[in-house]
Amino acid sequence: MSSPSPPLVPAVASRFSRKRLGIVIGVIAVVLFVAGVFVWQNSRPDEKRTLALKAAKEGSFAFAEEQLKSALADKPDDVEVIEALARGYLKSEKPHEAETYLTRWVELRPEDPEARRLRYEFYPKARKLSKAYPDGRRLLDLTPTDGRLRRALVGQAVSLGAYEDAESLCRECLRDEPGDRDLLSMLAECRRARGDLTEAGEILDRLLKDFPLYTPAILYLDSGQPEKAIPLFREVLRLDKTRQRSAGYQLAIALERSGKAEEAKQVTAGFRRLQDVEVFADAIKAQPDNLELRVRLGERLLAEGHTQDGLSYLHAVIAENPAYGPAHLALAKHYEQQGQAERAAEHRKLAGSTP
Amino acid sequence: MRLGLHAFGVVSGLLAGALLLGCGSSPPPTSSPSPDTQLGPMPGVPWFEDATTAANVAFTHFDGATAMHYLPEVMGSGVGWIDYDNDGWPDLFCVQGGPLRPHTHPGPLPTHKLYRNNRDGTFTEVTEQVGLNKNGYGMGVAVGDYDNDGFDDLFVTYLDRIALFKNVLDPAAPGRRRFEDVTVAARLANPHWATSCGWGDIDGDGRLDLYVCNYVQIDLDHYRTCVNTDRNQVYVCPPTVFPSESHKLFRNNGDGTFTDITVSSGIAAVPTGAGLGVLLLDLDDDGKIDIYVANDMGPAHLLQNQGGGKFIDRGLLSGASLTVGGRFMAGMGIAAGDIDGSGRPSLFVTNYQNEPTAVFRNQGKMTFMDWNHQSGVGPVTRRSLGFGIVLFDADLDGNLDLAQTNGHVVRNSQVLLNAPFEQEGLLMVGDGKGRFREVSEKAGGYFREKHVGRGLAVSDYNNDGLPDLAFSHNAGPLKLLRNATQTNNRWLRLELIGNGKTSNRNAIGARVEIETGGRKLVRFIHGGGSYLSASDRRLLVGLGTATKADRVLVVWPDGSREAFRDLAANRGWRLTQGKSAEAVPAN
Repeated sequence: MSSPSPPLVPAVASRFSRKRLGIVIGVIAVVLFVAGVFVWQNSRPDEKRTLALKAAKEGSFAFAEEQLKSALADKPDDVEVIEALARGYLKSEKPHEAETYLTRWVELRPEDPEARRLRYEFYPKARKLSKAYPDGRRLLDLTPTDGRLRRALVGQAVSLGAYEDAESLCRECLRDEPGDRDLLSMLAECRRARGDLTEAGEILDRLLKDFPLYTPAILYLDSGQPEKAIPLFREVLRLDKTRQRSAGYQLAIALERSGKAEEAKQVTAGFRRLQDVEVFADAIKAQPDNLELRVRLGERLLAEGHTQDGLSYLHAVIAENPAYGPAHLALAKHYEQQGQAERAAEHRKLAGSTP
Repeated sequence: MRLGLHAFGVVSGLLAGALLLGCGSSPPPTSSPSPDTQLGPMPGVPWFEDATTAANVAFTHFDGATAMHYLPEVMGSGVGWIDYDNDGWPDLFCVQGGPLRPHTHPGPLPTHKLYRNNRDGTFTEVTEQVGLNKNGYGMGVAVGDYDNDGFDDLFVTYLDRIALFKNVLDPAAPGRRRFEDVTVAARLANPHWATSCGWGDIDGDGRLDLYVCNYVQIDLDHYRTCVNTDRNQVYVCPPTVFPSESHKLFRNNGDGTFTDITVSSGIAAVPTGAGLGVLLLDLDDDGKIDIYVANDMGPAHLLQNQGGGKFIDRGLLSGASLTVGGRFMAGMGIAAGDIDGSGRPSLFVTNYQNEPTAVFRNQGKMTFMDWNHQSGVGPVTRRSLGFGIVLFDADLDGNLDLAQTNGHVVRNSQVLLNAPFEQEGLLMVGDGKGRFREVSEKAGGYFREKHVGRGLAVSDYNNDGLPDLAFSHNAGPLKLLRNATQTNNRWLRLELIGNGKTSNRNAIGARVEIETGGRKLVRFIHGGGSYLSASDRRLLVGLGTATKADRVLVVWPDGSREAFRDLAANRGWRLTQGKSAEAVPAN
């Protein structure tokens, strides 16, 4: 009664067919893989380029950089890729690389205002102000209605000493804005730099009549006419709250140069107060809990004659810490100088010191 | 089998991956220099090569950075040129900083270094041999022959003191020189944080007096840090947080000692400022040396010499004390020179990030006008935080050019202020009419490297007729730049020697007018200058294409005038007061 023996052949066959199946699958996989690689290889440059451009646009420049360069190696004049590289390097703050691709972009598309604009804006940041200006000029040719650009170029031309060009641009701007005081000031500067003191003077006279402002005052001062500058600075101080420090400083200089030394000192004290408060404000921001610093500011203001300001700083310190000795001491010294012995003694006592 | 298939798949995948990677790998990225970045010298354009290694100079400023961000950690130290052995070849002195708490420092403390010029473009370190292996938290240096013995001495400032090193014969080695610390014997004392310093004869007695800037008072044991609360980061405190200190003026008594005349000179009466730069020069052409001081976040002082050792501060109302807008400068380094052919020295003061290097054009009679915008210097320097600055003729065309070294003071400035801590130095060429044009990108690799620049001093160390530069960097290696400009322009090197009686031997305070090729160039020998640094006092004058100086008029510090005629170009000349010009041997 033997049981039927298991069919040997089917088992072997099954094993064999499995093996064969594996091999067949393997071969098919390899063939498919090779074919895939072949197809992929052939379609790759375009696909890679597209993917890289997309990645760069989406902000993944680090990922796209090498692919873009590789695409550019295949096609060196590919403006789209060059633009992507230029923008990518600008964003990642690689100035040398950015300039290379910006320049290539401009070379290939000299009439493209975007390329020119980007390079024009890039140069000042890359320490190349003098190179920005020609780009700005060309950009203006390409976008002649851009009044803001024209106006910006006037200032750049003046700063580069290209007074002839600056004057011509300035006059163009003035056609649109005939009474603009800053433009008129720059025009006066150009005329003066080009040796035409008469017209410079006429423009200043016009500015003086219409706009008693800071810039012509500075020009008067620099050209050795402090007397003419003084009333202008006074007007600025009266009218323009944002220029109290600068106009005060220049007025003091003008007064000094006009022989009015005493008044110069008084004006100096005024703008020194503004400076002190500004500088100490920064320091106090750095160390907000430093009471000694605030006492020092209070003392400085008192010493410079700004009594109310000085006292208010010192009292603010005491309000924060009623036992803070240095503040009491500063007040004691102040009251002693004022002849208020009783108040001085009171603060000395609180400071824990004797005179 | 499943495993087999899986394994096959993995292998295939890896293979495919490898293929993908292999196929996809691009050529290695190549560095693409900017289109106008010059990789080699261009005729007529200044060109500097890093000669540090070739010259055997290996000085690195001590890195004392701590988590506390103490203010001294970022202020750097200076560099000075001194021909200590009088062989006609400038030697290089590097001031060293140090740990703020030296007792906790493991190992030997770092020292200053002196490099002797081997006269072949290389140097040999001789620090120990000359007795300058001194440690301490060094800051600035001034070079001057205070005892009029013909050998330059060294004055060094420290975080907590000052030191005078007298140049003496080495008793152990005949013919050799060494330095002796004579600070106490000279009665010099200043237990404060001293920075820049400078020599100049303030009272016309023929002896060099000494001005020392003091910065601020800090107490390391009770140091309050400054914290940016938005980012919760400690950063270096601004100087305005600390009280400032009165500067010092020491009168030379002529017997090896000095007297502190800070009070009697009127300097103590000037409101204190956090001093970082000083320059001693006759600014109003009255024959007396004036003192210009750059203060950090305070008005610059222009101390006008009244005679008899008295000064009054004319800064605020001279127009050279604040920016045109009436703001304080973060004044660091100072340079002065005739940039516009007026024969008057205009002033340059380096400034903070986003603030231009101030240019005050000298209009005579102690009046100055703001010239930073018109000079072209303002727009270029606004992007940097400037420290050392020198005016020199890099291309020998007869016009003064400008070099400036930059670097932020806030170590974490990139995060907190969106400004780099390490910054490029810059070079601008002058046109002789008061305008400057930047050429940094074309002037050699150094000007494209980023450093934390601090000190800067100029000297023609290889005596080839082209001025070279030494830059010190905070917590970084000193760099020596050899000027390799390709030019046919000619030059004169003038070494002025006062009579040592009515004029100091160094001739500090002299005015020199050089008439050449139909032009008149005016140069000055001043004390101090730059930031914590000392440049070569010899005047290297570019003559353009002229073959000689027709006439050199020297107005000596004592006011006497002497003319020297027909000095041939391309060589050094020693002009000794009261004697005829003497050609200096080439080697």
